[in-house]
Amino acid sequence: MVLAQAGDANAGKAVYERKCVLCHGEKGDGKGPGAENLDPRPRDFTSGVYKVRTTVNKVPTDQDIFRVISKGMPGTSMPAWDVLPEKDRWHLVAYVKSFAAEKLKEAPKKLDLPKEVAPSEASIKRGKEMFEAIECNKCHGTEGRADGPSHPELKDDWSHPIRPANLTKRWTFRGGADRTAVATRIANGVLGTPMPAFGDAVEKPEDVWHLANYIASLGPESPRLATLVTVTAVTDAIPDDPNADFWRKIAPGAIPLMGQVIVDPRNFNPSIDLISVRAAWNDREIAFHLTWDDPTESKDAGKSDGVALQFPPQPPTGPERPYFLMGDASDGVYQLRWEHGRGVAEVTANGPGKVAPIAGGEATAKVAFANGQYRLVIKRALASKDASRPPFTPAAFMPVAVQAWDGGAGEAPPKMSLTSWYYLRLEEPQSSRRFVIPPVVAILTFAVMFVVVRAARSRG
Amino acid sequence: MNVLRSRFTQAVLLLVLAFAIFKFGIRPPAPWSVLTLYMAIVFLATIVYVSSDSDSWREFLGPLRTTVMDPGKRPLRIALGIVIPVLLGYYAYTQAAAKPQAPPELRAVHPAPPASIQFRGKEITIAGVENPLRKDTASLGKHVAAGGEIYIKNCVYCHGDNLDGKGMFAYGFNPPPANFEDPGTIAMLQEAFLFWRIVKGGPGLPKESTPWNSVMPAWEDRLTEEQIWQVIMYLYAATNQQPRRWESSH
Repeated sequence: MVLAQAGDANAGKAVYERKCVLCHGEKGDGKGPGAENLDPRPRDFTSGVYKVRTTVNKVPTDQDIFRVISKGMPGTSMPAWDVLPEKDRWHLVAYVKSFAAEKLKEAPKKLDLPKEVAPSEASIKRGKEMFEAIECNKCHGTEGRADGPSHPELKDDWSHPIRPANLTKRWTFRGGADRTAVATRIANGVLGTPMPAFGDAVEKPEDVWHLANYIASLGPESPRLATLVTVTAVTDAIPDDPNADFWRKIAPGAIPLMGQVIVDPRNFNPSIDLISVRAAWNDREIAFHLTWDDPTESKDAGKSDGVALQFPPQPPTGPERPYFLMGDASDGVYQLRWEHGRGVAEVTANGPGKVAPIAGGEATAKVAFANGQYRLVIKRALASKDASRPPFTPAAFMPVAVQAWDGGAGEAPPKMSLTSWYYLRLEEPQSSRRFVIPPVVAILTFAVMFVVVRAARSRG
Repeated sequence: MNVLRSRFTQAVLLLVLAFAIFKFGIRPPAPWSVLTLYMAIVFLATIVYVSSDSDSWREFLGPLRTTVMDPGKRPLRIALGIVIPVLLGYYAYTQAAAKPQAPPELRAVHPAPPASIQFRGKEITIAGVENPLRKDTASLGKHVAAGGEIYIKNCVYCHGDNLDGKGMFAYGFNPPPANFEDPGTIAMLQEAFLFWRIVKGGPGLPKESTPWNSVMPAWEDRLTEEQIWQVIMYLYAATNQQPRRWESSH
């Protein structure tokens, strides 16, 4: 725990005007020039309302504000300002409080969390029961993926639409991913948002810990990001069913997606921020298994959800490759493009909006949607039929990029999420090389040593 | 006899010492291939040192000769006959079982700028050009403020609120967005260089900067000439840095 220091509001004003004013505005009303593109909006300090606090009344402690400045608000555009000297951050606390001095007059009343309950199977089970009993699922969804029935109607205190937290992505929790932070949010809510305080709604006080333990069990603390997409070699048939056991046995690589902000309409607040990729190949075909969260299943024409896997039309021979954003007029790209309700198509793109299907496409796809999550298998023949589609060759590095859009959130290409080029590599079939070579090396070394000693001794 | 006087011990110590210096004394750590090269040179130098005259050479070979020949050293010979093959075998295993990594992307970070560029059909000279807005000394503050607005609406997503290249979209892209706080970026570049890079972005990179993985947009599609010079002024003002000047030609 950081000890509170008295900050000087005047000194804070100078830092504020250098570092904060462009989003939070000169008057502290959250209406700086940067605000219009941001969702969630920058905090309006004149309201005196603070989302993340450790108190039971509406007034945060100085440490609460200091913590948000230092650690930022994960999942939003508010970065961690721990790059500023600690003293400056305490000055900022004093200054941002001065925007709502009247409303923050009351003394903060610390929340007393019940004694911590260590995570255990029993605690997680109790947490799950409570999760349903107090209806967390109404907003956060049955499996916590922010897809509950009331998610589309949620508004914050300023009438801006607001998304519930995706509980399987703890690294985006505004107030931090640790269990104490989660238990605190459950007990005293998130001010200014539809997230109420549940401290009194749970059956027993320690249920907030059971809930925190359950939520922690829903997903990892941070995603395991991939730097390379490895395609596993298999000898058997590859199942079409995205829920098949086969896919669970392949380690996924998480690929982060960012908003497309180059061509209009720009997507400053992308809906899809992560896709988990699994892939396998056999002597005939290659298959991609993609998993991503999307709170609404949309398949109506023009509003459907979709995803595209992008490759160069032929494996590159040099370092050059097409423009990552769907190629350009002179260098196109090849895409496996899936749209919900329409299936997968093999297409050529020469820039956003210049997409043409390739005649005789043979790719197939099968999708499953449940509880705010898509699972999709896309398959294609390993070999290429013509020059407009790339063949996939074992052990070669092939550029790959991913694009995705959430029709339910008003996205449609080029308003989408995307990546720059990654590499994909078809793993060679499990060879016994690594078991054969080392003994051979050891035996040869011994033989050479033996001969040297023998020769030297016979001469001596 | 002092063990340090033995040529063999000296040679071994020299090699160990040199390795320790290269491995732990160089920051940031040198890649393995460079270490191997340095060690090869040190090894050759050591051989030259111990073989400087025939006495020295004989002294150096002494311990090796006894290890191979001396009947009393038989246990040591057996031990070495097991340990050395096992070590080499283990090394071969780590090499054969290594998982492939994505190949490194080599590129020129600051390619040479062209003499002039086309900006929406208009020819703009780059070589030798200074920021035209700096002549208007009365309005410097106004231009910096306007640049800040342009920055927060367009650039912040990748280059970050703190101009350190850690914006909310930054970690999804390779190469990472430029860190303007780093003295190796804008502080060593002329403003006209920045103008060129902002106008043409990733798509306008020259040949030596392939594989063109940069996601930097070509801002001529969205910003005016004046707006780009303004945002450049903001970058220097917000990071307290000075642009590099063009070397005057004599």
